Amino acid sequence: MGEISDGFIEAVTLIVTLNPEILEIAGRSLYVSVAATLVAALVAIPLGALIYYYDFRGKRAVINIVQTLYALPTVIVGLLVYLLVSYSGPLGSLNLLYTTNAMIIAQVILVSPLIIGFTVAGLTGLDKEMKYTTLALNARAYRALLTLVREAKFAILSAVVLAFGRAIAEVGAVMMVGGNIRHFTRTLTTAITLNTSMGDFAMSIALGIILLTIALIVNLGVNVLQHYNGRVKDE
Amino acid sequence: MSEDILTVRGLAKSYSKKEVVRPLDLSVKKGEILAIIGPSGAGKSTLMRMMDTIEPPSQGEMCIFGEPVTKHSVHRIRGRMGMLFQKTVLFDRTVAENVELGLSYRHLPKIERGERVAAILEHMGLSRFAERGARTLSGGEGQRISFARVLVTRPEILFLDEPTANLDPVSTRILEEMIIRENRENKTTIIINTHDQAQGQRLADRIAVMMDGTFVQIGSADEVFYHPISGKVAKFVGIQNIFTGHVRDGEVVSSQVSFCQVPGSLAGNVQIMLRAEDIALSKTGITGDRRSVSGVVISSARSGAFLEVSVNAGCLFTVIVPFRQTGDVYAPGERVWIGWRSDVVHVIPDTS
Repeated sequence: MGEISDGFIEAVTLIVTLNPEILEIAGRSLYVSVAATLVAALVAIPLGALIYYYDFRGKRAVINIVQTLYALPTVIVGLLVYLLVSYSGPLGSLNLLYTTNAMIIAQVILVSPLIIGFTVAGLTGLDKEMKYTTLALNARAYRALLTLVREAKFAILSAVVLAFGRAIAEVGAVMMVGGNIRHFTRTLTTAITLNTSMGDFAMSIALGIILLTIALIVNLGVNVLQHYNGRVKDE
Repeated sequence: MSEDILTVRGLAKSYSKKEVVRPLDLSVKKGEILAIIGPSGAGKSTLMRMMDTIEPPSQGEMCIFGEPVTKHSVHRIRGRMGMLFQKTVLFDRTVAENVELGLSYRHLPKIERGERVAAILEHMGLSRFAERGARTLSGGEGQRISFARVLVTRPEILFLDEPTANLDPVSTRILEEMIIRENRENKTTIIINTHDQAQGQRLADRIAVMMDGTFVQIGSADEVFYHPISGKVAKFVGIQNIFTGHVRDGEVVSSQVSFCQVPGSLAGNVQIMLRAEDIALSKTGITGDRRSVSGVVISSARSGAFLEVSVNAGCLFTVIVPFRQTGDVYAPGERVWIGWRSDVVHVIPDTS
């Protein structure tokens, strides 16, 4: 018991004294996950919108696959990206292995299905007359989609926030392709893993508190967005 | 009324083997108002979306503004048409931004867009709403804004898909007046779907009856409402007295009631149709050149300003009389006389 309570006290001290190593790790975690979420959103929202907009053979199957990928195991993504960027892999010449960029790539792959799927769902949730209206007003496909995505913005934004939550909390993929290298690729999750195995509970608890706080803020953000989404629907 | 502005040949639509619209033909003249009436699920909305080119047909061809609709011409053609839906669609922006949407899709300069939006709102008496959030409007106001959003693009053909189905009677009247005004002022060709046969009668030059995915009758309001081509159409256009009968000695007869002389060369079994409001009702007897029979009142019920009386006179007749003017009460069991002019009886061969 003493170890845990001591750990807590020390952890709080580390946080309030703005321990430089903790700040560095938290900052890197935020950077990697924010970057990954933004890149994923830039790719996945348009992709989801296109899947929604066009009727094509196998559309249902595509949506099912995307939804299955919500639960994509992080270590599988880690393995995939490792094989891609390792020195003998197809992207080996870019020297990405054990860099933050490799971690970003892994997280982009990890969270894109989530954003694609929720974008499709959010747009499908709109009245179908809305799509008809944009068409009847003679909108080209991209203008119609801009209008409709804007209309489904709360649903899509909450998907993006959820994606960020999944990105910042995962440990498997960033550990495999980032390598948990101090001052280079160490993030909140990989640092907790390492420090716990080394018995440095104070550091782990401090990092854990920060991670939990971020998760809390993310959850709060999703709630606010879904409140707005619900309000739009009600009217 | 001059040349055909829209022609449709063999147009049909199926969704995974289910035929929603069966191959049909249609021609619409420039400046005309055509009402498509029919029960829910008859395929009216699907047909309309195909004609507005926002839903591809499974088969058939269309020629609009004298030009065949193809992959290359469709965008240009659609730009000269507009469509209003039963369900009011308002985007989560201001009223002015909603109305501007079609113009911004057409890449019109900002200043012209603003002017045209202001002008149409002014014209329709909606200026006071311009800066309101569109979602804050009532149902009737919202549908008028949706209509303004279509009209501001100056469509030459206007498709209205049950535009008043969700509106209260006052809002319905206002929108109907706007529809007629658009047709009169701009010679806009209008095609309107409605399940409300009276609305079809109020607005349209010509009425097409759609049932089970295809047109069963196209004609003037008089033709459709007084000379329906089948019992099914007759029922839909509100003819309450439909009897099966036969021709005997030059008379059309059903259950001993003689309705009229045989029109034309009909023979054998027939269907006899008589509008409830074309039948006179009396407690003392019917005079003049009417056919009349006596019968017994089965029931009577108020329906708005009218009284609907069921009379058993061999056939079971439904009669509608104005309520206030008569002030009479028709009690079940009472003996009454009913009568009609023989020229209001519509007789068709019974093919069933």
